[in-house]
Amino acid sequence: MAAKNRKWWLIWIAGSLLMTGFFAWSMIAAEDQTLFLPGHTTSGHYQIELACESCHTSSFTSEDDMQQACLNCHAEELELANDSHPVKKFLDPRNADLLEKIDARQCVSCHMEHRPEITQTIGVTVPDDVCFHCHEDVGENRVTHADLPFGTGEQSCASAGCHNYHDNRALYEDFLLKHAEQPSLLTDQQSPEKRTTAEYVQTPGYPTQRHTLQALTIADTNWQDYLNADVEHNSRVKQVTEAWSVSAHAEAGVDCQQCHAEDDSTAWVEHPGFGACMDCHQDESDTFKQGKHGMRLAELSQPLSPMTPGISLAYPESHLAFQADSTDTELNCGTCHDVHRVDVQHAAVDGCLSCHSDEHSLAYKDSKHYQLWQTHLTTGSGADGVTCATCHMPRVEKEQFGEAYIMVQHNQNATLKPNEKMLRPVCQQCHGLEFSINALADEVLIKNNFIGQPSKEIQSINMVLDNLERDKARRQ
Amino acid sequence: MKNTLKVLSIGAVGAVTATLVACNQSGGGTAMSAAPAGVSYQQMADALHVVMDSDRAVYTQRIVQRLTKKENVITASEHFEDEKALVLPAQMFRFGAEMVSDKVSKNPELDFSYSLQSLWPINKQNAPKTEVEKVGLQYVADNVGQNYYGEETLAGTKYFTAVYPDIAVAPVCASCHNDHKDTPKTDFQSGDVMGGVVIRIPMN
Repeated sequence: MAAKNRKWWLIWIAGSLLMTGFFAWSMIAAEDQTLFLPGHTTSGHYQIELACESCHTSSFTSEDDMQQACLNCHAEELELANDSHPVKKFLDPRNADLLEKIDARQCVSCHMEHRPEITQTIGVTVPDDVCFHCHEDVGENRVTHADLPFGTGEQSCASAGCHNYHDNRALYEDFLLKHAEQPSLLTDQQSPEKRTTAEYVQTPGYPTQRHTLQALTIADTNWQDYLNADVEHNSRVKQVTEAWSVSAHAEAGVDCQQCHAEDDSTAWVEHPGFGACMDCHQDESDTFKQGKHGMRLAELSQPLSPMTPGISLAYPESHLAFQADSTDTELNCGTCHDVHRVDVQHAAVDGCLSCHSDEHSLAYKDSKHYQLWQTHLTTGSGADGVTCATCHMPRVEKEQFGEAYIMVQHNQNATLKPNEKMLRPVCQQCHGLEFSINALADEVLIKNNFIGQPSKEIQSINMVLDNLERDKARRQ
Repeated sequence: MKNTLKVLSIGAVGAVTATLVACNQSGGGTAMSAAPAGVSYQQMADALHVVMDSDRAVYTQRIVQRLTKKENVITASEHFEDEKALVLPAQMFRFGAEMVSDKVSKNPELDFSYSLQSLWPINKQNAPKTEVEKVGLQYVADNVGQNYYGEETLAGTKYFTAVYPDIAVAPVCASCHNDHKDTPKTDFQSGDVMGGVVIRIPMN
C-alpha cells in the first residue's frame, strides 16, 4: 500500500515539476507568449500584444507606470489633438466625486485591454452613455440638448457626429459657427503643397552633414563596380541606377552608399533596413511606426516582424479585406515606395490597392475623387486630385524648433478613428464643414467611397445657430 | 484653522509661487525643505493668492486690455490658436492652475490646488460644486473686499479652502463676459466681483 502511494506521489511530483518547468520556460525563454494572454487585445494593439513588456513594464505594473506606457506611444497624438479631456483637468480635488465614478486620469479607465467581450469601436470599454457621469445637467444649460438621450450606438454623444472625447478641433461651437455657411464644395480648394527636394533637406533635424546636398548624376556613382557575370543582376543594377538618377535622392545628393552601407562601414548592404530610411525621413518614419502599418517596427520590448495583411486577417475581430496574393506582404517603406524611383504616385493609390480590397477601397476607382486624380495625372492640372493618401496619409503642418513645415502623416489612424479627425486636415481642404460632417456620419457613403450625397443630417451646426438666436432674443 | 505647516514659511511660499506660477520652473521642493516653520494655512493661501492675483491683473490690464482695446492690434479669443489671438485672462489663469496640478502630482510635498469659479460661469463646469465653494463664492460676492476661509473633506482628505473675490480689473473683463452667448449675467461692470479664486491646501 505504501509502495503504491509512493508511486502516485512520485508521479504527482514529476508532473508538477514538468508543469512548472513548462510554464517557467514559456514565460522566460519562449518567443511565443500567447499562453499568457488573458484575452485578445483591441484592434489598436493586437499587432504588438505579444511584446507584453511594452505595456507591462514590470511584473506588477503600477497605475502610474501603466499610464506612462500609454503615453509613451500616444502622448504626441493627444497633444496634437488638443485633447479636450487631458489628465491635468482632473487633478483638482473638487473633481474627486467625478473620479469616483470614472477615473479620467487613467487611459485604462475607458480603454481596458484584453477584454474583447466589452470592447467597442476604437478600443472603448465603457458604456456609450459614459458622458452622463459628468455632463448629466447639459440639458439645463443647453436648451438644444434638453431632450437628447445620452444614448447608445449611433445615438450617443460621441458617436452621433457631434462630439469626441479627445479631439474636437473641428467640432467646437465657434468653429461650427464660423464655417456654418460653407457650400458643400468650396471654391477655394487647396491642400498643403508638397515640399520640393530643396525644401526637404532644410527640414529641422535633416542630417545635412551626411550628404553633399549637391545634385548627383550617374557619372558621380561607381555603379559599374557592382557588375558581375550575372547578366540579369547587371541589368537590374543598371535599371535601378537609372531610376535613381532622376529621383529626389539623386537631386538631394544621396548616393548609393548612403543607404547601402551601415554607418561608417563601406560594406555593401543589399537590402537596407528601416533604419536606412529613418536617417533622413524621421517624421515619416516616426508617424509610420505610430500607425497600423508600422507599429510592429516601433521600439517595443522585443523585436517583431513587419506587419502583413495575413496578421490582420488572423485577428479575430478583423474587419478588413485584402487581396489574396498580398497576405504575406511585409510592410516597410519599400513596400509602397519604390526606393530607387522614389515614386510617390504609386504609393498614393496602387500601393494601397495592392493589399486592401474592402468595399471602400474597391469602390475608389468609381469615385469622383479618383476621376480628379486621373485628371491630374493626365493633364497635370493644378489640383492634386484625391488619392487614398490624400485622405489617409495627408500632408500636414508640423512645427519643430520653432519652424513650421509640411510633412506627410504616415500614421493612417491620425485621420481615421474617430473619423471626425479627418475634417480639418482633409475634408475641409475642399468641402464645407456641414457637408463633411454629414458625409463622415454616413456609413453607406463611406463604403461606396463617397459616390452620391450624404443622407445623414447632423444637427450640430443647426444647434449652434439656434443657441445664437436664443441669445439674441434674450438681449432684446 | 490655526494649525501650522511644519516646513513652510512666507519665504518658501514666495519661492514656490514664483517658481510654480510665474516662472513655470521646478525646484520648489528644495526651497521648502530649507525653510523655517510657522506658517498657517491661511497665510500660505493668502501669499499664493497675492501672486496669482497680481499676475492675473498684470496680464489683463497691461497685455489684453492694452493690445485689444487701446492699441487695437490683436484680439483675445478662447480659440487663440485658430484665431491667432491672445489667450483670454481666465484661460491664462486656468492653464497655470493645470500646470501646477500636473507638477504637484509629481511632487506631493508641494500639494495645493487652485481654480477660478463663478456664481455666473460661462462654462458651467466652473460653477461652485462643494458646499464651501458655494458659501464662499456667495460670501465674497456679498461682502466686498473680504475673503472666505473654510475646511472641507473631499474623497477622504481634509482641506483648508480659501475663496478670494475675482474682480473685473479692466473694462474688457466685464464687456467680454456680458457679450458671451453663454453668460447667465449680462450687466457686469468694472470693479464688480465676477467670481472667485478658490485655493485648497490639504491639512495633513
